[in-house]
Amino acid sequence: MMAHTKGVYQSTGRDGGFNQFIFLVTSLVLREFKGQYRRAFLGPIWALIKPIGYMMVFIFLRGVFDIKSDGAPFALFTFCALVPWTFFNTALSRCAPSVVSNGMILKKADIPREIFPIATVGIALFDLLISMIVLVGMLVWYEAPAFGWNLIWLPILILLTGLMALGMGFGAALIATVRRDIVFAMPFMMQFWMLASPVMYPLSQVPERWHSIVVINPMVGIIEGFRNVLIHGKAPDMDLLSVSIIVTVVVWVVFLPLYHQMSKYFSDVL
Amino acid sequence: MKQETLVEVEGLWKQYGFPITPYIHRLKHRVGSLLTRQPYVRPELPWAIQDLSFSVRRGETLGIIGRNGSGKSTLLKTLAGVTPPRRGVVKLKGRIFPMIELHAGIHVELTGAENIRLLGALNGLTQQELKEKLPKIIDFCELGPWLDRPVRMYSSGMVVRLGFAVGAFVDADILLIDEVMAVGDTAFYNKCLRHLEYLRSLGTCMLFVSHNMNKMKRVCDRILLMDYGVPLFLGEPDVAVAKYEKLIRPKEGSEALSALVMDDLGVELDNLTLTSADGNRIDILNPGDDLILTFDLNLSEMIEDATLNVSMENMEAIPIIWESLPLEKIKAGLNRFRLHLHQLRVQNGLYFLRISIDVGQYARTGFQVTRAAQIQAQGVPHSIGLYKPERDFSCIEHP
Repeated sequence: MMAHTKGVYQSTGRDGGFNQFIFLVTSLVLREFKGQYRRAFLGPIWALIKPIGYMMVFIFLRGVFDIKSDGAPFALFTFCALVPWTFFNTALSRCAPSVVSNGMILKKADIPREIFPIATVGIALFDLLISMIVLVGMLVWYEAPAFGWNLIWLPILILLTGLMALGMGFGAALIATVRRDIVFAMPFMMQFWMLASPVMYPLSQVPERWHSIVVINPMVGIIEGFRNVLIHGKAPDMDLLSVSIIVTVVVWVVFLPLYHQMSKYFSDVL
Repeated sequence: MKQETLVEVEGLWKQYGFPITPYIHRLKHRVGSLLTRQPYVRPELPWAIQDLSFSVRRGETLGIIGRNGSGKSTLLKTLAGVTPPRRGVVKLKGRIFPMIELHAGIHVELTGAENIRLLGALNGLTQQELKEKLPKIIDFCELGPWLDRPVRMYSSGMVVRLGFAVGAFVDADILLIDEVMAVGDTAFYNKCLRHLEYLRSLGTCMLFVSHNMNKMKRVCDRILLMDYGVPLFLGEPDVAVAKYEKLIRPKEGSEALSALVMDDLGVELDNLTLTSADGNRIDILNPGDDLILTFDLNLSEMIEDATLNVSMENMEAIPIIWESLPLEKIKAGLNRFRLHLHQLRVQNGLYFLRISIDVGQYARTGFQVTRAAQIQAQGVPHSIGLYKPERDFSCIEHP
């Protein structure tokens, strides 16, 4: 008769602790970051081409649709939004296949499975830092009032964006291990999400009746926060930002425990 | 001296997949059968491992054998902590190194040196430890200038070298080995074996999966035999291997036992008999028995400058005996041959006879009958060598 007890696995071997975890994450991030650009002629410049390309398109579209930019230079106005958006987009859409594509590692090493989305967001952070170089250049060029006390908000906003992408990334990676649909849907969904966010247009130009729908988008608070800090030199709008914070907390509370529980079985289903 | 137990497995059951999947299926069925009201039949999911218990002590080597799909790899994966047990307890003491999927985590665009860092991190090394061990690892893998080239340029053997070298310096207490080292050239393979012996002398315990029964008998202290996830036997390597060989022995009259003829010369093999020295038909070959083969070869035309070969092969198709007879000229028609093998002392097991004629300088073209006959040998017990000659072995001088 089989005992109806749950399976137990105990190992005293993993003594590396937090240091080992950090070493593992940085090794994975370095591997991906170096690996992805090694065979590319332009290398890490590709991290710039994406937001700059979008900026060009938006500048053209602005001419067509007569989009306002709250009095700021349009190029700076849209680039301030493109930097956090590109970070969020890269992080989240790469999280989805991160577990599946690291299946070989999963099947071999007993490492915390949370590491794959975490490392993915880490790689996106590298790309963000590269595009920040251009952003700083533009801020200096347009003499934006960014460089004051309110700049302290910037790392907080970046951290919040990363945490939100990571929380959603846990969910996306989890779903992708069972059904791959989310990997295919991701580029389209992110495109749609970007158009629904005030990246190309200011929130003030959204018609009043759409307002309540637009503000539940957690990226609105972050994008507007970036603009407030960098273009206007003031603190982010707390009402908008609280939506981002609430959504981040919710996705973490829902997806992290679920991911943790299900991730034990990843090597079974991959 | 009683050594401490490093691996303890008690009542282990393993089934693949998410544990909630059956419930989802049942729910789907409930909803789907609201109108039809068909009773729910629980689908029989296969168990990869059923009720397995064993323990391994420090310095001990446990072999795991079984046919494909018998649960060997599942067991290693469960021990590695990669897949959770469904029921039962798995307790490990000390650092574990699963020598499975050695190339996992390697990025082919990065250089060998860059990959060592990642492999070290994946295998549980801290940055400090890796720094200390890096020279040893680089020395061990013998890749020289290749370490600065991207791994995509490596041969598969070189990738294994990289993976093994990192694993060898993890300071593991428990090693899981799954026949991975069969790649790489002989020199490196032997180096790996030497290193494993060294680790064992330090007190590492090993779990070893292989299909090479001779090696298993030599290396393992005990062997676990599994079939369809069920543990059949655990104990003496000799007994386990004998049971395994009985398990994989092809059934009477199956294709694996029937003769296979390849013929470019128009030769026919006939009247093959196996007799003992007194002329009686031989059923079981006992140690020290003579074996006499007689057979006819019926030739449709004359053959010149040929060699007649008779070989006796074990189940792993390794020729234990290979006898050749040069034939300068052999006439068309019936030719009768006799081969007398004196005092054979072979291992336990089933043996096959192969008869072939090679013509000219290219071997293995011409005529060949594989598995022309089979013979069961009742061998010398506890024999690891393939052949046991008549011998005198004693201490001839002592203090």
